[in-house]
Amino acid sequence: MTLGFIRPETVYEAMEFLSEHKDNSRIVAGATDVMVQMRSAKSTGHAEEKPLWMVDITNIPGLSYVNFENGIVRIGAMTTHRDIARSAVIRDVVPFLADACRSVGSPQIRTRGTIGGNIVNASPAADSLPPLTALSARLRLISRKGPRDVALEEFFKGPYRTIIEPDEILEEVYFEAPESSSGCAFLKLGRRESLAIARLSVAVLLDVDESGKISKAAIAPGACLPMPARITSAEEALIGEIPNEEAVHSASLEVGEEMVRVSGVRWSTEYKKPVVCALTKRAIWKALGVDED
Amino acid sequence: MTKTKWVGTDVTRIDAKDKVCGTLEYMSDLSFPNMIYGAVLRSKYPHALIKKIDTKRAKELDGVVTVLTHEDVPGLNGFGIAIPDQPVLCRDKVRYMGDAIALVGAESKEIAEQALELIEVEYEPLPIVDDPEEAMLDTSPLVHETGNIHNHVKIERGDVEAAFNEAYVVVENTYFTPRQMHAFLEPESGVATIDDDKNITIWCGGQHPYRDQLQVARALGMNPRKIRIINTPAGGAFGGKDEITVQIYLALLVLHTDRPAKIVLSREESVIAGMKRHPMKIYMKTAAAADGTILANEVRVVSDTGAYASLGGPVIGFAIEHSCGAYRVENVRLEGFCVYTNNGVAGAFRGFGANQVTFAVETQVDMIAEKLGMDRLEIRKKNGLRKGDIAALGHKMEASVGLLRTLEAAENSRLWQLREELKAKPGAPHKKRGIGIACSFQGCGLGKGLPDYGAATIELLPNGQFAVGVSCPEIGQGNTTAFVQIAADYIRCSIDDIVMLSGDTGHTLDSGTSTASRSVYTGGNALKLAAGNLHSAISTLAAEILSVPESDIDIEYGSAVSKSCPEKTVSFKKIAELMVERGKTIKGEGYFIWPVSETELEGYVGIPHLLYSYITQIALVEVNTLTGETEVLEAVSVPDPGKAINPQGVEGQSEGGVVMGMGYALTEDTIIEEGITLTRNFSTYILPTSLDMPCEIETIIAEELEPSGPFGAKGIGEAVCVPISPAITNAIHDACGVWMKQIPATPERVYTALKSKEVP
Amino acid sequence: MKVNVCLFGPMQKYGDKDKFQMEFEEGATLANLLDRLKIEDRIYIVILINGRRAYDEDEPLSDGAEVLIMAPTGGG
Repeated sequence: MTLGFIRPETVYEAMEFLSEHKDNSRIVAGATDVMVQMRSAKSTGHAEEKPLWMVDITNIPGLSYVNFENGIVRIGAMTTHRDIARSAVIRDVVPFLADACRSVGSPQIRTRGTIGGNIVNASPAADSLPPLTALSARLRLISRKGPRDVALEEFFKGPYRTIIEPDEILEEVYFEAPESSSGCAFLKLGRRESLAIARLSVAVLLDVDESGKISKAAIAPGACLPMPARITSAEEALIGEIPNEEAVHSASLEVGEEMVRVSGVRWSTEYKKPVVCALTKRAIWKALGVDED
Repeated sequence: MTKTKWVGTDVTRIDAKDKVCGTLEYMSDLSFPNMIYGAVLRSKYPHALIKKIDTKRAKELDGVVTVLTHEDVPGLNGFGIAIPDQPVLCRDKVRYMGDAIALVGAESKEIAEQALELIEVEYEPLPIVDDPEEAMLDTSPLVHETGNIHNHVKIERGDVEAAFNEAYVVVENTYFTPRQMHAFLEPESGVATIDDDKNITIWCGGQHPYRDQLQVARALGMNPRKIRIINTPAGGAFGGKDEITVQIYLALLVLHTDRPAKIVLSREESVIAGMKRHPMKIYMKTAAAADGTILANEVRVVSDTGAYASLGGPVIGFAIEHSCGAYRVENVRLEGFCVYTNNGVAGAFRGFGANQVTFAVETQVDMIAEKLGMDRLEIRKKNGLRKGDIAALGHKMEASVGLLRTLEAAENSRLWQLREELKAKPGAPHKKRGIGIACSFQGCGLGKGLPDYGAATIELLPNGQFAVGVSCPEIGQGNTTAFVQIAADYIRCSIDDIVMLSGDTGHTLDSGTSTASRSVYTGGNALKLAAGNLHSAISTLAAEILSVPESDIDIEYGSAVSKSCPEKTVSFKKIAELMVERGKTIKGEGYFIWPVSETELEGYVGIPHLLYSYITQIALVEVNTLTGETEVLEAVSVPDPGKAINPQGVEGQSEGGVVMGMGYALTEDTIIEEGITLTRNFSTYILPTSLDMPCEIETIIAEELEPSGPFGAKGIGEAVCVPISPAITNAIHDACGVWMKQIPATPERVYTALKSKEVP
Repeated sequence: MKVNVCLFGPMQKYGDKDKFQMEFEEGATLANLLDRLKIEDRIYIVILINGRRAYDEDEPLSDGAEVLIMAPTGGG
């Protein structure tokens, strides 16, 4: 495989290049997924035959930021997991996103890897996606044709597949900040404490009204669905309930059922189904302020 | 015991500064002018005939210097410590995905890799055999024409049936152990040069430079003396660099191009081509009396050595020797098979077969204790080997036996004393805590059947320092620091006055391998003899200088002294000056051969051993009953290394061993399906990270001095990673009542076991 | 002169017994001994003479010497 490498200095330059090399270019930011995938392809003898342009966007200024204005949180695509995990805004407004970004890989990976890369790579196990899904985040994509905004849930076509056009660049992800009365939680099950790809994860965002009833609920599991999605049936099981074990239990069961319905029964289902339920339960209670760990 | 100044103290590792600062040059850091880069073409299939190899297109690529195949191997086209069954470059058949077919030398690494893609190989795929028990059947495809059973060990003593009949309790189980990876930080790599007289020098991390020399010589059909091997430093080895890795490829490249050459395997290539720990299926039936006395053990082990033998034969022998644990067992029926398959290759790995069987037998012992309502430590103390006892193979424990000492120290440890309190510590309701204990012994040295020899040299240098040479390589275990301490106390000089030479056939005599927990004992004993000879030479010159008879000379730290007239002294530095003036050399060589057991097992080489290190380890775990995750919270490790030459070094080995054994127990397994390795790097091969380590590992050194060892030392490099694995799985049982019969005890396995049992 | 020879492991195929005595003229070398035993593979072999590794075949033999002949091996 022949590789070309280009490092544009501006968004415009990058868009120009991408529109000219639509069929054989790939954007790299932190390269924490791309490099691993290329090495893996090489070692299994599945490397691409055709020449490929690597379009390194790390030199483009202005794509790394966390802004909070008018109730909207905007995160630049080039913002690293490390910066998000440490962002005062994120930790304050959506701590479960900080937790998710802190659970990515290792310090080295978090320092290089970006949220934009995490989204566009579209791994079913991506750590930032469950909280972003629970937040109903939206994405802004840009190209020479102009910008377009899409809902995160509409962005994915399947594992590692999205609707992004070859000449488009993800500019930012943004979402409405949840009510200050809300609670959230992200839990992840990996094979070890660090450098662990999620085997299962779940993000929960809840709001409880003055009467003590759950008024809003968003539940998004990770690593068990082909692409990020909220489990509305689970959310419905909670809404209107004063937090109680039975409601939490039935919400968690809905997540397990949905996983089996969407992903089918696999060798791992016997383990993953009850465990995703257990994880969801704990995440719901954690979002309600009851942390059992 | 001799009074020591250095031995027994925490001398800082001699390589610490360079390693910590990153300034130490490993082999892959070395470069030479005009150097070419080598790359190896590996097989596309786990089992196939080679019909044709065409290197024409690769040779035509710009920047390619040479492309070599089996036709270019001048000597024997094979390597292997025990039998040379692995081709250097395959001619007509490949037996696993790591098999090498061609070797490219090019101006850059990238060109070399590109050239690999241009080599055309025509294969005829063969049916594969990936299950060792199926491989034993007559109907199975043959990996080697000689048959798939490479080695068969069978040992019987006493009357097993009678013992089973009269036993109060019998436990019978089948255990499975994983294909653990050495996962050294430095993958297999090295550089080589060749001079005008065709003398070849190879820098390559390894574990026995003199055997590497012979293996390279055999493949090149050359006089071994024309090949110099430098094995030190190795960036980790753990047994995985005991066999030839890239040495022969480096030699072929320099031989055919007359240019220096370098090869560095990628992690993926290292994983696919490199050695692993033998996965074993272990059937074990153990009988005990009502008082806990172990009466009989029946064992059948099937070991998967993969495509080539390497040390698979000795490993199964070692496994059988250790399959009854560190216990007296009078009635045994032990059988082991080492079987070829198309699953990678397995060979030496820290523990050498003891890890697998210790997991099994230590689980059996806990099961017996549970059935008898006996304390787990008591049953071990009751059956544990003492000096003079007869061990399972019928051999007498003649050397130092520290098992009881380690068990007693473990019993007094904080973790064991506070076990009930620690277990009851309030955690989340879905988390259960448990404590497990296990002990083991570990044969040191190469065992009965072949002389295990070693040598050392000490030379007085013109500046008054001493050059100390032991060829057992430094593979990270710290043996060079131990040698410096031992040498300084035998010579009676400062450790700062020692220049250590290690792992180099050009500057050291053959001291054997850095394996088998043997290097400190062997090198230390050889140094003792060398120091004696050195002292004679020093005394001769000192006597002349001081005008006293030689018999009047005594050696003190740093100088020679007249016994009759103590004010007459001459420093080593002064002696060195006079040595230079008079054109003399002062040098001592020492040659040592291991003592062996009196028991001979007809037909077997390498078993039994005379000398063993002993160890008891304890683990405190917390099992998450909702997910099956196991966390090791704390561990205690109580090794008996004989004299701890460097206690800090023993602690380092102990802590590293605990984590390695923890990975074996909980997460590590190289998955090979239908001959294809799926876990090709560290994102899917799950090594514990620093965050997974127990927050505390307490090492209690229980020294049982070995009279035949240097200052009483034995060896400890391997034992430290063995019983911790069953200590962890026994702790899982203690926590939540499930016996893990297959490791690694992954969350899925623990969860499944819990579900089929239901937590009480 | 008389030399005591001991064969180990795979090298035992070169003698009727594992331990025996051989007689040589003064000045004989290790090469003469290996020739007499018809040992062909002389590269992958380890020989100890009186406990010392002999690296070269032209190493002289001495009366009463103990010569151990083995193939290299390894262990845990």
